[in-house]
Amino acid sequence: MTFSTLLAIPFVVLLVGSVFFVIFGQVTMRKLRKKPEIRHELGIEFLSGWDILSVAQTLTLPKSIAQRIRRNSRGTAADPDLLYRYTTLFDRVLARVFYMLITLSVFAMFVLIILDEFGVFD
Amino acid sequence: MQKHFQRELSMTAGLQRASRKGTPLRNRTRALNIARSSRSIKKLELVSTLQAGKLARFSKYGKALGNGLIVVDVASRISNVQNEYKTDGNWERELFVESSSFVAGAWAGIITANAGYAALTFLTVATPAGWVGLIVTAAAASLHMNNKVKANSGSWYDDVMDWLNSL
Repeated sequence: MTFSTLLAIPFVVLLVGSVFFVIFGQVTMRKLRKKPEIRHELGIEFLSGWDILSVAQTLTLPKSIAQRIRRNSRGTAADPDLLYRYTTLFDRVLARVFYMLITLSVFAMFVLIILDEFGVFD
Repeated sequence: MQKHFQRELSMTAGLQRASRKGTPLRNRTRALNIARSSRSIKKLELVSTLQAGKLARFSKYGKALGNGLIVVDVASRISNVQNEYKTDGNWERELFVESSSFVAGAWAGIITANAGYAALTFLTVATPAGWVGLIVTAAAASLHMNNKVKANSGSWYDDVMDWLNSL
């Protein structure tokens, strides 16, 4: 297979992940933003909607690592303990599917690009 | 001095136009709520006012720069498509190329920044150099991904179109 075809595969996965991004933002994040207890603990917003990513990341990483990031970040990362209390299993699965699809496809594309740069596909 | 301050405060508050909801200067709870409900800066534990000022400035630049860059980027993409249309080129293909490379470039930058931010918190000394490095890395990743997808998505479009025509 050529480099172009190989690069198309993770790109399609990325598009599917983007659909999950919208679903996660509309279903879980809308619910979380309504709760006054957790509204201010969803992580810093560098750009509008950045908290969607930090919540998905917090729910995807192992809880102990997420807690350490929260401790080290001086409160700019999402609070894993509160998130686990206020999300259902469905929310967490949604977050994990979304975050894994996006990160893995971006990572796969970078690996392909780097391999191409070393002339693997020539 | 306390009295003096109170008097000055009430004078300043009186100067402001009376609002039904009350001004932050008159009502402390209201001020706190206003500060809390700001969507731009989440609760931060800052050590000094100097740090707070720096962060506010950074976020201001970041917002203007971020949104401004997106506007410029999207505008240049749209003009590319329009040029293609004007010269009777295959503008649908150009539209596919521009939008797909935008999506890929944006996600590449976002994920690099997001994962890099989490990784940076693990370093005990997250110096400004680390932050600058992260921003530069994310921007470079985004640009590189954009270029690569732009170079290849044209052939994806052709393949899909060929496949659709062969049905």
